[in-house]
Amino acid sequence: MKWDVLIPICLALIVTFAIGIVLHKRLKVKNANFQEDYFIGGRSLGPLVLTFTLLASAASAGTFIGSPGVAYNSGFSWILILLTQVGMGVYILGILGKKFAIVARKINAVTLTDFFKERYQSKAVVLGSSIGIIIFISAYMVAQFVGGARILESITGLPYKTGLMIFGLAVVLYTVYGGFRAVAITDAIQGIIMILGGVLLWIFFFIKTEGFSGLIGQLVTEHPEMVELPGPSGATPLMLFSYFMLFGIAAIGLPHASVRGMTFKNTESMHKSIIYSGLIMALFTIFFATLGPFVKVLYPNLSVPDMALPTLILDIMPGWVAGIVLSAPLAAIMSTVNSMLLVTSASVVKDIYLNYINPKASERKIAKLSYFTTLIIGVGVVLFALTPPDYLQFIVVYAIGGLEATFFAPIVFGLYWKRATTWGAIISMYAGLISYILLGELFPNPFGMQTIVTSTAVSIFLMIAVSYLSKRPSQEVIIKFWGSQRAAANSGNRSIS
Amino acid sequence: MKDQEEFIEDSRFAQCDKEMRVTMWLFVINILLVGGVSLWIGLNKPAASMSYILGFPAWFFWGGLVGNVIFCILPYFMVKFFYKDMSIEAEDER
Repeated sequence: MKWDVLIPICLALIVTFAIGIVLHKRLKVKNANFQEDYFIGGRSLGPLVLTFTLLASAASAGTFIGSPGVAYNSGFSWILILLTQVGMGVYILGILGKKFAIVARKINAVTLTDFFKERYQSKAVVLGSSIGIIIFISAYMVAQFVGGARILESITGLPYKTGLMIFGLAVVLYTVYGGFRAVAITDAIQGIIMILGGVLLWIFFFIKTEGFSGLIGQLVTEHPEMVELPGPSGATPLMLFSYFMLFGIAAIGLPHASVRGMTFKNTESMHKSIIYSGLIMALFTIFFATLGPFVKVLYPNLSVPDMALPTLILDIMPGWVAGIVLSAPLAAIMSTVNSMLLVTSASVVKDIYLNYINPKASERKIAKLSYFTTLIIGVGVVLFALTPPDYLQFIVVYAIGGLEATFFAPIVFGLYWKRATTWGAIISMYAGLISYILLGELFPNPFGMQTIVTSTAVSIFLMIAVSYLSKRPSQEVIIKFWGSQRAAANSGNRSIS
Repeated sequence: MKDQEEFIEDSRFAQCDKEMRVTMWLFVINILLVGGVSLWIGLNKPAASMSYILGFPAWFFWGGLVGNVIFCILPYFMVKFFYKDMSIEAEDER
């Protein structure tokens, strides 16, 4: 047991979450209603907190544990693929943009499902979005738990399964107890720790080893394929393009990330956040993933590739520094899982139970049900994580792709195309979801591109075709979403007189 | 469209649509700058004939690192030249 590492980790975690809760109470927005405050921080986020919460919700165990693991065996071609995520925040904010924030305020939406409910006025859309969220976010959470357990395994020497049980129990209980509240602020604190951790890691790396120039020669002799393109990760031009879609622009379809597009305080916050988010994502990616191939030279025989980065950190840094650096990804995993668990259980309770099974449930019953749903989903996900895959990154990629194939077309077209209809949304959403799962099982990577590109293309095509074939959306919806509110008031008067 | 005469579109949305299109162009630039440069220098080149800069394969240095540094500066100019401050409250102010 490495107490010198473990104690700083526990302290750092406790301190971050304590600061998050205290600051949150102090910054609480006075006039916002409960739902607004609870789910999206009263639409009051400033640029720094917005940037970090956006990026942390999209990049967690994958970036810090998973990617260096894949890069450990696949080399630079994988890092290039991962670098396609640098623009993710820019695209989510820039494309959903001010329009999403304005529309969300007009219709009082606090979740993506609220947006769909108002725009398409259809239970089938709400149900489809809930199913997509439950399947793929659960898969995403499995990856997060694997990442957390791997870190604990490397530090404490406990067997993987014991580490998973401890970590899983801690996260699930914390979620049930603490809820969503302080997540955005803790994300920002952890983000800063991660960047500092990255800087420290590079400094120690250059002191303790021969540096990149010294190690690359050996890498080329022993594993020439790791410096080549397309290389072992198959970064052909078409594949690389798919990853620009997957990690870049289609990230708009990630419900837990795009909901952040409703949260900024004003356009100044949004502008600054666009500028920061590219830079910060680039730092996250380059600091951690770039070391993967060099770890291969230093420790050529790791049996679990996901252990590449934790092994390096523990070996070249003094215990307490390693503890602080490792606490950052652990904390990021906790806050991601935390908000995902709540999104999933909200989807079960709010979108399915309240809509279809028992619309008249009492407050107490809802609270009780939410509590149990969160617990059951949490435990279920931990059980799935008991048999971990070789590379957690591949579950992350699968889950991200599924969410994007389901949600991309309904969000973007719903926001920018007046003609997008309910049937268009229903067909495109289910086609995206089902074609992604089926293609992934039967015929992965059609046309030499990731499954995501084909499924999203199918989904977009059907959105356009079916919308033109079905009845245009009602004038009511158009006025609600596109009309200036003054004009809406006027036309209301006119119809009375 | 015949329906459009019945309501006045929110005056801010024209600018929003423009910002969306500019962001799409940035995506194209991102692909060319990072993906294009890397593939142009490094695609199908055997490790033996590759050159290295600061310990990185040349294609990764120019495309992955330098390309991304340039890409990180571009949003600053995009916001400066194409984005406009506006109210994002539900009511249209003008």
